[in-house]
Amino acid sequence: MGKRVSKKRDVQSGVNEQSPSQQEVLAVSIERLQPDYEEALYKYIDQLFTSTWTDPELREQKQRELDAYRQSRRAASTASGQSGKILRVTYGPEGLAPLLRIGDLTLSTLFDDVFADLIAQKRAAVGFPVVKASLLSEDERELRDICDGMDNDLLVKVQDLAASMSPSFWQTPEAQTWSPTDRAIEISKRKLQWSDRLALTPPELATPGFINVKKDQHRYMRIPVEDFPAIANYFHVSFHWLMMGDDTITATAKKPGTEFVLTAYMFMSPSVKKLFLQAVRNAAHIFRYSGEV
Amino acid sequence: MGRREDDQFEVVVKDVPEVVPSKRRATTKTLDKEAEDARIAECLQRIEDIKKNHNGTYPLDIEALRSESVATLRNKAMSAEIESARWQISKIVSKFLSDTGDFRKVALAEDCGVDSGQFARALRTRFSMPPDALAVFCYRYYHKTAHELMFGAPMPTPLPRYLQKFALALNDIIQKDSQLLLELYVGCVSTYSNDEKHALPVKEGGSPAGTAIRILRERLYEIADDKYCLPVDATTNFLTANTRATIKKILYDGENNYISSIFFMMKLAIEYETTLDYLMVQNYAEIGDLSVIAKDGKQVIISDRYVKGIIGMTLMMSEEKRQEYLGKTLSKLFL
Repeated sequence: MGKRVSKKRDVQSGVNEQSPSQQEVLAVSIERLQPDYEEALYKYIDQLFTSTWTDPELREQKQRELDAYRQSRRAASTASGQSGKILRVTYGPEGLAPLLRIGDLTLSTLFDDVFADLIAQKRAAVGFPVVKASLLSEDERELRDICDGMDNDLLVKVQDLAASMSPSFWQTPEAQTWSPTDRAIEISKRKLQWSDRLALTPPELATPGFINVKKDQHRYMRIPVEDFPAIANYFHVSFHWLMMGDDTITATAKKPGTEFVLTAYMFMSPSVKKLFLQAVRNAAHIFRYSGEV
Repeated sequence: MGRREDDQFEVVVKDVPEVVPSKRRATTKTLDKEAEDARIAECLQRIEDIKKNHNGTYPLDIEALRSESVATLRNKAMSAEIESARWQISKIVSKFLSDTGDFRKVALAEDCGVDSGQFARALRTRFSMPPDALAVFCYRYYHKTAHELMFGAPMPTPLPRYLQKFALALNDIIQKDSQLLLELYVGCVSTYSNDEKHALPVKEGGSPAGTAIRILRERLYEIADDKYCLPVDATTNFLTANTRATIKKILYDGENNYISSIFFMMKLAIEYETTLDYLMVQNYAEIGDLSVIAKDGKQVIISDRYVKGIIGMTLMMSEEKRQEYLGKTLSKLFL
């Protein structure tokens, strides 16, 4: 079920100590991972320490990264001298992204592997099938593979072209601050009939968690983690974008730059998608040919 | 609140509760409402006057019409202004026909696909023509855009997002490398002529009956796709229930039997901030200018005939050929 979350940042997280550039980031709508999912993620990382990372050097490096993360997420000390507790994992570049990098995870492996049992259990409890986070159509897979094989200069050009051909709403500075729930609600506002949004929730999405969020006028409720893959799949939007992925983590691609292209591509209309894909195919062909020469 | 000697609390209630701020709010609210009511009454009076005396503004003041936030009032004002403009348009078309003197009205009406009696009546009273016929008349005989005739002033057609970067690049090439522009033009002509399924320009019979409504449907989806929303939500203002219902009928009527009037299309052009030609002609670059928004947010008007020619042919190509041509050209120009 959805969790009541304040949009304001916790007082304990040291708002006043932030630099101006960091304060801009504070405008980001805060959404926390639900406790059981957070526990599953930490458990997975602990497991990596005990079984997978056998190389001492790698273990040491990962331990350093984890310590640095914990330090950055530690709340300010209380007046009585007690050290602050570690803040809960939030979506976005400060919370979830560093943990994914430490655990060598992508957003889709996180949902499809680490959270798999929890998601299956929770979706089954409300009578809905599990939807994979890594679902891509054939053309999207082709685009992903082409972009992953490109050199960075060409990929930047492709990103630029994709951004110009895709709708602009998701590229605005305001849209960068939306939390996953805000993004899902924005998409459903845009793609479902305004007047029918409450009455006619598509059956694929009508989980108790999603319905509660739609009914909540104050926007305190949050969409449960297990529903996000189904929402991304229903509206056919990029899972990376929906989960506030930044340019340091990926969902299904190898390069974060490819995720940007995929996000832009998935917002395009079907006819524009064909044009864009054709242009990228041609560019990749020329690139390969010039590489061989 | 005060503390008594026996350590019990005493609640002190002020004699007069402070109600000044709320009173002020109420007063401001009432004043605002009165001012709004007066404004609406004035607008309604003006609308009645236009309806009675046909003294609306022509050329139509699109910005003023669009700026009205009350949907029903905006709709009424648009109807009254358009209705008034129809009398002006009749005079303009009659004058054009008598000035040129080259056309027999019966033959012209037949060529446009309208009944000659109906055409003569439209010229005597209020102008009226189905969208397909109007496109033929404007592009084949009047040589001005339908938007210019119906609204009284030309307006460049805003290009959809997928063509904006392409059009801007072509516009830059004019100054920098005219040879490249010529090459692109020749390549486009070649692809266009090899395309067996391409649409014809209106001048060459490219607007048979039913074309305008099909194009209108495509364009409404295109506008909505550019904003990633439903067509009825793709306007800055909230539309009236009737307008929304009519748009839905146009979009979802599978049998293509809905005939949209040119005046409803004019309302849509105002609401969607585009031109009438964009909504009803396949190649809206054939006569009118185009506009794109540059990276710095400024509007760039495109009037070069080669650039317009390339974009026009692109618009008339079948989907496969357009995909092939634009795919090749976009990768050549940008990647």
